[in-house]
Amino acid sequence: MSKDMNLTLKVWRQKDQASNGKMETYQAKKVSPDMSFLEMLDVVNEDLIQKGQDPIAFDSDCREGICGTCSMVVNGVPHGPQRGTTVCQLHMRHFKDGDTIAIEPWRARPFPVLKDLITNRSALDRIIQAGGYISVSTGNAPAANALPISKKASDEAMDAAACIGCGACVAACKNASAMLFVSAKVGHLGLLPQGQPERDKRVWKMISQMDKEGFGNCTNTYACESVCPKRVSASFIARLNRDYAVAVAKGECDR
Amino acid sequence: MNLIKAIFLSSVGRKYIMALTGAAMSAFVFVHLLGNLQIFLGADALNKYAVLLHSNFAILWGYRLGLGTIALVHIVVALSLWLENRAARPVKYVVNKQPYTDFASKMMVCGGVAIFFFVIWHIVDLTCGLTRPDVVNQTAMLGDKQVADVYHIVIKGIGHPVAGICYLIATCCLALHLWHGLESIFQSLGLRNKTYALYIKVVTKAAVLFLFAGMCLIPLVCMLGILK
Ligand code: HEM
Ligand code: SF4
Ligand code: FES
Repeated sequence: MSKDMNLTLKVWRQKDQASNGKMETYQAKKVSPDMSFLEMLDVVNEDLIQKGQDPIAFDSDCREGICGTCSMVVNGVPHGPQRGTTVCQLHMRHFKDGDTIAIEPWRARPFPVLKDLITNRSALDRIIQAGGYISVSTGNAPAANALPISKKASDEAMDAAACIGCGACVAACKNASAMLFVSAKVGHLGLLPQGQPERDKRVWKMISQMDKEGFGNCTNTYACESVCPKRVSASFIARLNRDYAVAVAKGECDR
Repeated sequence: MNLIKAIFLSSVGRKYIMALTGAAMSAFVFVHLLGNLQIFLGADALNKYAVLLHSNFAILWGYRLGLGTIALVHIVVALSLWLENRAARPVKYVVNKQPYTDFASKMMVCGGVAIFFFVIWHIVDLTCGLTRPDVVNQTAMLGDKQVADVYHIVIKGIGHPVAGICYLIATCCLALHLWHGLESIFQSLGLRNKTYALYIKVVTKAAVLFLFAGMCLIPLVCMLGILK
């Protein structure tokens, strides 16, 4: 059994979307290195509730790194110091006894803070609604190998499909750009045969919606791929840029 | 109309513009350096090259206006992107460390603005000769013709310690801008994937180091009196 830790937390507290927030300091005592980051916050919250105070509000759902709900910036890094992991899968063994940990919500104009660490990320949903789908005639499920897909294309599509829509890429980017997210969605469908009929329309619609939401513009810093818990590669952004050029060249913007 | 919007007003379209104008200016900068390195071939070689550059009025002014327009578009689009990027994060992080973002990419706007002021002074000083007429009005004989003595104009103009240091600082800014920028061109235009990424990185960084070395060398040899 490794030793328990005592930590100082500085957490962004904000009553609601209309209020101003500020950093508040809390002590997290007897934190086990085996706890996840969110379990550590659960313990702090139980303590706050017992004292009759408002617990720290944060988003979480699956707590196994697959849903994309958890979202907090730990010491300036979205999802914390461990690369390729969501904050729900970040364990306290990555911290030392006596550490001070700053915890903040995602920061971007399209992600307004609703309360404490919870932001409204429906801007990402609207981008998906704009074009992140394929249209299929319903009916019986087609035979498994009716559509041949090369191993290379299916592997690459899977790498893009790994995106869980958490928004950490936006939170990390100095420009609050959503390009990694959009490129993952566009790349995932654009690599597969089912995605071809709507390929040009999809790129055009999704980029237009992304711009409308007020995200910043990509300047190729690649901070996004470094914080992405699913390690989506920024080479999908190059692919997106290429697809957009093709879509515009084919006159998609006038359709 | 929609086409104009798709290219000049969209986020991705403006990245193409940045990349294409940046690439054109980079091409100019490399050619400019190679031309200037002829200073090591002696006075006649450089003076002859200068005569060649000024020999065709239409080409000279076509290139000047073309490059000027390209630079203007690069700057205007850069500033529009920059303003939007700042507006996209109205509340900053308390721990504002911009993780995994390298120094060169953080300096693009500051460095770009520094390059802009340098280029203005460079043109006013050496091309127009407004600030130091005594330096710029030197002539020399090339065969039986009297021509501008560009060789000595450069040595005297850039060899002045204050001027030379400005050239060195500007070279640092330019090299830093292109350290991020040259590699970025391929990403912005969609000409990068996992197979090419490493090659693009190595070749562009090597090109920038060559540019940096070459552009530092000229003011240094002029200032240290190695070329006279
Ligand atoms: C004169 C003032 C200048 C300003 C204000 C300026 C500003 C900028 C900005 C803001 C960017 C995009 C930043 C980013 O992607 O992170 C950029 C990109 C670039 N600039 Fe400049 N710049 C200037 C001059 C130059 C010059 C003289 C050159 C070349 C010799 C140049 C070459 C490039 C290149 C190659 C890129 C990369 C394009 C891309 O991202 O695809 N710039 N510049
Ligand atoms: S690309 Fe990565 S960081 Fe961005 S939303 Fe998807 S999983 Fe999250
Ligand atoms: S809570 Fe589902 S990914 Fe973290």
